Amino acid sequence: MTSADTSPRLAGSATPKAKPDFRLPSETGVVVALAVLVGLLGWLHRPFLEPANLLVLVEQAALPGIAAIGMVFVLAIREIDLSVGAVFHLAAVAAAVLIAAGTDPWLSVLAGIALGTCIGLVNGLLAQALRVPVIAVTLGSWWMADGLSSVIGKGQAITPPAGDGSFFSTLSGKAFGMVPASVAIFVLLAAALQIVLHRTRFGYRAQATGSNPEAAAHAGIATATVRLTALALMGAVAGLAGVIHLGAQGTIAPADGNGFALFAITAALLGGTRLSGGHGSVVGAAIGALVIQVVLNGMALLGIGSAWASFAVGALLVAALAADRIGRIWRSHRAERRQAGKRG
Amino acid sequence: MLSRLRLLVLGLIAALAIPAMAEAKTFYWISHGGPADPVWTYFLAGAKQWASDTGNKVNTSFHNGDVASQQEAVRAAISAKADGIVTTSPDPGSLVEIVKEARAANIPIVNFNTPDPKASFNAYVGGDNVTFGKHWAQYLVDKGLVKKGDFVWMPVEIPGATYGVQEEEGIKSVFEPAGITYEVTEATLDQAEAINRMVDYLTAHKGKVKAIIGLGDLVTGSIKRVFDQAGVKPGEIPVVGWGNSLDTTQEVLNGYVNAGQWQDPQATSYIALSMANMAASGIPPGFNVITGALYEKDTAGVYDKILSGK
Repeated sequence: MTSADTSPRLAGSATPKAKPDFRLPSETGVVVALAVLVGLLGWLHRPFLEPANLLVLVEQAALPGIAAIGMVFVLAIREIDLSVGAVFHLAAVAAAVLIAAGTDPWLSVLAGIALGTCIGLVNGLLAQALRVPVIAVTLGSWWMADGLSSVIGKGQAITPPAGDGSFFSTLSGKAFGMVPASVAIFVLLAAALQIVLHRTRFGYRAQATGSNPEAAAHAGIATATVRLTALALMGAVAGLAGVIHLGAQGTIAPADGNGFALFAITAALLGGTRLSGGHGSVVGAAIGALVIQVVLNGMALLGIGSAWASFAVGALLVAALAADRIGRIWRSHRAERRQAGKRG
Repeated sequence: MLSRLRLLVLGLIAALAIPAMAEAKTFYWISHGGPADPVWTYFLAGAKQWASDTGNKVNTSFHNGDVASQQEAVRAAISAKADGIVTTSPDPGSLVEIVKEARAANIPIVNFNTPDPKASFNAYVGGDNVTFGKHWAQYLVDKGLVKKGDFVWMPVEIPGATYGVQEEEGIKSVFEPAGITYEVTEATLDQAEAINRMVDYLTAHKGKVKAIIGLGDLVTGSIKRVFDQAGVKPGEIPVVGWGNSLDTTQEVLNGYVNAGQWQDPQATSYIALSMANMAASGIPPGFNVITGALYEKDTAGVYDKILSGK
């Protein structure tokens, strides 16, 4: 933390030594929240800290968590994608139907991810062409994807035959004998996309586009391309989560993927990604997903009804929004103080 | 000569057909369910089969939970001087007055699917949740799957909902005297969330849970995914409960669930119409018929075939 020196400078005095601009990482809040929650729930209910329970908890957080890390890119460009859960489901349904029709499972997986990418791309193209916010377009694509899934799946769970089994055994298997494949993919993807967001040209451009679209365009950034890429990435990630789910569970049921959009947005905001765009943290979103799952798991273990669990997740979202707003006000005040200090 | 012969044949056909047509009765099959609900397609199939087998006419209608619309349909059947009416109860007590009207008009009216003891129906045909609960608990005890001191976990979609409460009542009547304890936990109606909550519970209580009773179709149909995620092998923890879904028939066939409860929807409609027909012929039904079959692996294929529409 810094505090600006606002005392007037004396004529002829030496330039004051610049204080180092120390800033806590944006993920600090969510890490503290996770530690507090884990400690509290472990204290309230000892079995919560059992390794088996913690592993299950991380496994449950993995797929919505993957959606959350994709959502970071969408929020970073100052947009929201509501179709995540439906795309997740449709990609899994498409892959399941292809496998059932005799297509190689790995090719079917690629087709599922490609379908997710295409839906993301179409979302972006429609938003550009119609000049409407992505949230509105994805509200429509959410319903359309949901309807298509129901038509294809006839409202029933689809359980494709295992075939040679390599696809299903790989995704339902465990790395090092204990880490579920979905968790391993979640961690690797989070690490990779954190690098993409903060160490690549696309990542910087996405944040610049979200921070100030006009300025980004004036600076020569092809903001339309950046927005399309971010939405296609979101679709691909949702499709990937869908096919991982299919491989791990061996089936896709009608309700799978419900609530993913709220989960993903909440996790991303909890993790320090700003609703106002311009900044995101993939690692923060991954930890945010864990926070939500800790709350849900802890409440289930304590025998607290699902209605209160929904309330708690909603409250977390409101808290994250409030923290985002307070943070912005605080940053704006600090900038004003600095400006005043420089003028003085 | 030929035309006389034709007339004779036609006369014979008419002589045979007219009494048969005169004997055909008209029944009304009225449901609070929806035509898109898979379970109701089986109920409807039973009614159609009965019409085809008996040569009687059955007018069917679905009312999607709209109580006023169903009341109107029953009144319309009374006005049309139906030979008999079979109807579900959209809401306990909602048909009391209408049943009185049907009885006053000497039209047999049989309740099916869900009982409504407040209304003076001629008979009831369908499941009895208290009896089902009792059967499930007795099944676990009789098979030696639970004993005194054991703990049974009973997930349900909505705690406090009538079906779960009635099933628990039946289960309690068996478990309490046998010294077996149990806990009912909420799973929710969202299958993905239900699975997560069930996995959480089972992971934390794996050593304690000696058997599971699925109080609803969704929870029992989620057992495979719950076991797979919680690392429980098929058969490691005995499971019994509702089995009106393809998921559960598969779970029974694959050893995840020991026994599933089939509601017998087709038989329910068929028997309800038979009872109404019997009453219309002057034989009063002085009894109810409780339908339902608890199937195991050896007969699960029958229900799996029905549910998969093969």
